[in-house]
Amino acid sequence: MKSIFGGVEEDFAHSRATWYAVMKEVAAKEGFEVKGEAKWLLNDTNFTNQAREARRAAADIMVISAHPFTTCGMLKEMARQGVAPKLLVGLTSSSSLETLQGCAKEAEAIIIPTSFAPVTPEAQAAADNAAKFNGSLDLHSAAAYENVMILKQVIESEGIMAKPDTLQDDRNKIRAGLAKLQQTTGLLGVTKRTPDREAIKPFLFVHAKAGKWEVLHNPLN
Amino acid sequence: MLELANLSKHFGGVRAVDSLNLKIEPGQIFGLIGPNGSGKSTTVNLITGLLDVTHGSITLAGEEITRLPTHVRLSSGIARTFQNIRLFGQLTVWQNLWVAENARAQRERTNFFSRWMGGDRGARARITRALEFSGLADKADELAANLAFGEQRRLELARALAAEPKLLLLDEPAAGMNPEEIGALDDRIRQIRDSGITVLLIEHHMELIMAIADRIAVLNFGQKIAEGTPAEVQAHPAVREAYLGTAG
Amino acid sequence: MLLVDLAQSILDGVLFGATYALIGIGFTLVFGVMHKINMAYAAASVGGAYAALRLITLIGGPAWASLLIAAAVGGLFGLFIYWLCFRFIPLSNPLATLMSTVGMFLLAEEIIVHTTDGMPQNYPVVVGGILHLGEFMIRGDLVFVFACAILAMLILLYLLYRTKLGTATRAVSQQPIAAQLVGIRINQVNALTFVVTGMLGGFAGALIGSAVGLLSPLLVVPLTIKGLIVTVIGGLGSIPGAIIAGLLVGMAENVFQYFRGVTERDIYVMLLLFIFLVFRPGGIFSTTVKRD
Ligand SMILES: Nc1ncnc2c1ncn2[C@@H]1O[C@H](COP(=O)(O)OP(=O)(O)OP(=O)(O)O)[C@@H](O)[C@H]1O
Ligand SMILES: [Mg+2]
Repeated sequence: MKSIFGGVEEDFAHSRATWYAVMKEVAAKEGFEVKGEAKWLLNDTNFTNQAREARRAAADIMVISAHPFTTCGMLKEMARQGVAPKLLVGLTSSSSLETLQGCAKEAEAIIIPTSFAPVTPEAQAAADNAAKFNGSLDLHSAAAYENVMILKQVIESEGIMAKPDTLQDDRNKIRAGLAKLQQTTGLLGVTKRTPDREAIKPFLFVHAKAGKWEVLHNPLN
Repeated sequence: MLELANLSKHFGGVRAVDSLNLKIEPGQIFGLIGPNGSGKSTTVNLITGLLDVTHGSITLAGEEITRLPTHVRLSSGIARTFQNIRLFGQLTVWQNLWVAENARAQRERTNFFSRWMGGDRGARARITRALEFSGLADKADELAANLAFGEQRRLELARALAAEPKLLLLDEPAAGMNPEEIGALDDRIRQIRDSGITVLLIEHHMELIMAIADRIAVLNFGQKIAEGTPAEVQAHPAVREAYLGTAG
Repeated sequence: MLLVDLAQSILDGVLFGATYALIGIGFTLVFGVMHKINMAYAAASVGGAYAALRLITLIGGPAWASLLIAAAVGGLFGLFIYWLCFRFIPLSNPLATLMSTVGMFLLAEEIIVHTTDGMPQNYPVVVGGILHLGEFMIRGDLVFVFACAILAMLILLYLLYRTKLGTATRAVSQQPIAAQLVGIRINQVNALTFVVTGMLGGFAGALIGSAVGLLSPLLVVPLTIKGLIVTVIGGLGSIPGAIIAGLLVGMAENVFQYFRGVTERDIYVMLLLFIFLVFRPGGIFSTTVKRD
């Protein structure tokens, strides 16, 4: 596989950043031929032009950096026009149930790097818990879960009193406690931080298989 | 035919109609006159149910209709024309009469298809007759808005007749007409009366009303100040005063 | 290549524009009869499609049946909106029904989000197939939408201009007081208008669902905006105007996108609206029926 083509939601920052600043640059550096990209907007419903561009590009790899709604719209139009890249890659945030509810058939085999799948006992337990309440734990809700757990940890370690007259004190302690954290333990393992405190989370690759997300490659093992 | 008992309508402090008692016998042309703003049109609006009464009652052919909704009153046989013409301007003359058959359809409880989808076979003949009666036969396909003023007045009258009323309320049908047209109107109103329809005629045109009304009531500030035959009313001092005392 | 692509863009745009036309007809019809905008129209239309999708997944049945279910549910929604947002609200206040229908719009959207957890729902293909003519492709489902829009227009025009019901409806819009005086019950005619437009809306919502392949709350705002643009360009109250404007806006959108890219596309569509508002405020046919 040598060539790559993108599809970007032009009016959404992380969709753009993922394609232009990360995938496109890295692909070129790694020796892939970047055949350009098709663009659309967050609310778009008609992808005839974009799918045609993808068809013309005839790249081996197609990357769609968009939310589930337009990802599905584009995938459906690609199916209509018979655009079948050898490899289909999606944006992290599409690795949720939404994509599968919207277009399981067309999304079949799409590969997405994600920060969550129930691959550890902790993750499995959390996912089971969510399922008990008719929820579906995905990368978004798992991150929220981890955030709450981080707060819990800080509250316990800093001795938060939660009394009316300790309010200001508690706030300061929580802030200090959070600032101290160099790394946290999430559902998939340890999350580290860059010097400017961006999180570096464990990740893995999932792919859509028969209407479900399955782990394709887990670098953690 | 129609009886108003103690009928009043107040708009805030304005007593547009004030304890009005009227009795209109079947088959009459009953004239209602009075200076501008004396409550004539308001009376018609109360009878047709476009306005709610403040107090009093309205009885039509022995049946009290004071609180009935407009469409029910129509099916019990009331129709009217408007002082300021209210035609369906973007419908043709023919269509203006066609929709006006509604009141009749309602009365006869015709089925949905013949009422709304145009399945009523008798309509064409009736409308043609009405057009001929009003001298509009050659204008059937003209848009109402494009008619001359006198023609519009005739169409209003024809439309009111299309409901086949028992009581017809005419609010200044001669307003803006030339003498020739008024002459034709005079004939037409008499013919309507002779066909058995009771007419309540509001007019500022004294010659016309004095000539054709069987009986006349005079309003001033919402109150009846006189009632009688045309000759009696003309001779009444209060009437003279009311008319001379106002700009109209 | 350029010419083929341009032709393809135009064709795709025109066909997709049929969905805008269907929504535009709904806005314009209510406006034509009541001189009011029903802001909740597109939301209720998409809502009808959601309900149909739910039902059809629940009880099973062919995909095309969802169109009929959506039409029926849409009609009910229309009646509901009339009752809640128009029937008891003073029509003389120009903002009152605008606000009540905006409220309904938000409510409809909220209900959709809550019942589906905001997830896009796959919509089955009702009419499939693509006609290939060399490079050129014609989507079967869009041709179907297009045909439906034309058919809906013909039926509505027939109802409005050839039946007594339609004549009565027009009479109400032109002269409500006299209409009452010839025995037309204004509330009934208005309610009926909402039922008919609601049915059309539900049907359109389902068609749009099947053309996009998905239902999502994200459809609602753009459809409302497109529907309103189409209504203005077509001329408030003009059904043929809404159709032509729908196709025109769909086409313009695709052609602008083809030449100027997706990020500039909407600017030009708005510019088109602006040009119409300035130079032809009455819309394409400029025959808005006024109350006389
Ligand atoms: N809807 C209304 N709201 C407030 N006041 C009204 C209303 N309609 C009529 N009036 C007032 O009621 C009074 C009677 O009006 P009405 O129209 O009945 O008079 P009229 O006898 O028909 O006069 P004209 O000869 O000028 O037609 C007037 O003072 C008028 O201003
Ligand atoms: Mg008057």
